[in-house]
Amino acid sequence: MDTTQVLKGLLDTAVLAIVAREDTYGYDIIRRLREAGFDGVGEASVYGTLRRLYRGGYLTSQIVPSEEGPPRKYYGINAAGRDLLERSTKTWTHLAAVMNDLLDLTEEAA
Amino acid sequence: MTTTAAATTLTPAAEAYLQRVRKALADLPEDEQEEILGDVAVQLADLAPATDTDLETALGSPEDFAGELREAAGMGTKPTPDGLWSALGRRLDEFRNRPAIRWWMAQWVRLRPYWLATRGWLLVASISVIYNGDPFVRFPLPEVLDEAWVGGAVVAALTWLSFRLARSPRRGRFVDVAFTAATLFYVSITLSGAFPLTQSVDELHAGASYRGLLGTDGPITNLYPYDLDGNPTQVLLYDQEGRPVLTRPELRSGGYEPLVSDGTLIIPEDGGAIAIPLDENGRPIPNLYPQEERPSPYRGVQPTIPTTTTLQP
Repeated sequence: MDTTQVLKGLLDTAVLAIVAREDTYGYDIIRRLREAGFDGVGEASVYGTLRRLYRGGYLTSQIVPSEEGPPRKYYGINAAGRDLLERSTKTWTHLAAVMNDLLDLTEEAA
Repeated sequence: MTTTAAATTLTPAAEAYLQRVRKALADLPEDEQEEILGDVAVQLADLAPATDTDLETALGSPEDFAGELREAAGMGTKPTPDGLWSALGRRLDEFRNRPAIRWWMAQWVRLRPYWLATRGWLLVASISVIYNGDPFVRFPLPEVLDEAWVGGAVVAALTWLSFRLARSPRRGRFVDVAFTAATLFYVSITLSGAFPLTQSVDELHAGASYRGLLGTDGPITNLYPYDLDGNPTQVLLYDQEGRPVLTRPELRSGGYEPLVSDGTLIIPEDGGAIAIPLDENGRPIPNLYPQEERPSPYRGVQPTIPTTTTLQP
């Protein structure tokens, strides 16, 4: 199974979930995704996802100076983003339940 | 944020990587590019100093990175140019990817902030050197309009403009290139020593094709030799190579122009004559300048001299 493709489909929800906890910047989001087990996610995919969500009106951003390098753009979630996250969560929960049931039936049959 | 801000903190390798990503995103709106590159620069700044790993190994090629980013952002793929420009672009990319060129590009990225900070001064100072000769009465302020403070103000304005142009690489690219070209042009002229462009009359005549006798104020149109008693006398003047000294080069074919003491004064200028001031005894007063020059009728024939006149008593 190509996990990369699956991850790409879930990336919007995963990014929204991280940003919903606290405002943060792109590279930190990548680190948190990897700590959570999304090893195969590409950096460029995360940056592209952030830009798409921002352009779609689901995220806010602000520039914050950093002593460790260039100024960082912190992304935060807004009301539209929270609404999208809530709907995505329901969809994922439903799909996961369906998949679990399907896989359990398969195992029982085996 | 801008890549200029990033450029001050990124390593040369990271800056080179970022520039290739920028190129791969060049068809996107400028604001969008800056937003994306600002995010990427943060990661490059964190990655590059912490690891010896080549960035392309860690992140993939800049072009692939930009392609993946585009796909995730729903921006589509970069339009593919075709034909001659495409071929030239590929050749240029190959050239830029040569190790030696990449090394020089990295040096340029490292030195670029210094160039941005100094090119305004270089431009003003060069122009000032070229047109004023010695512009540094109050070094390092070059003089503009004969004032060092004006020069300082112009340098400050151009330095501000220099960094401003560097922060808006697309809109200000033409002006940026023109700025750089003008600076390099005037600096090269200054270093070549082909200045000042404004010359004194002496320098102008010394370097021109004028072959007559020159004074500090321009061509000498006549000479009036006197003997020790103050009487006009006749002499033949030659230069160090034995050539007749001509006060008017157009008379070269006629030999030289003598001044005689017997009452005939050769005036080569359209028959005019010199009125030489006389003392109470009727003798010419020597070395009295300025002497008035006035026309008089032509009165004689000198076969080898264009015109002759008679000295007025």
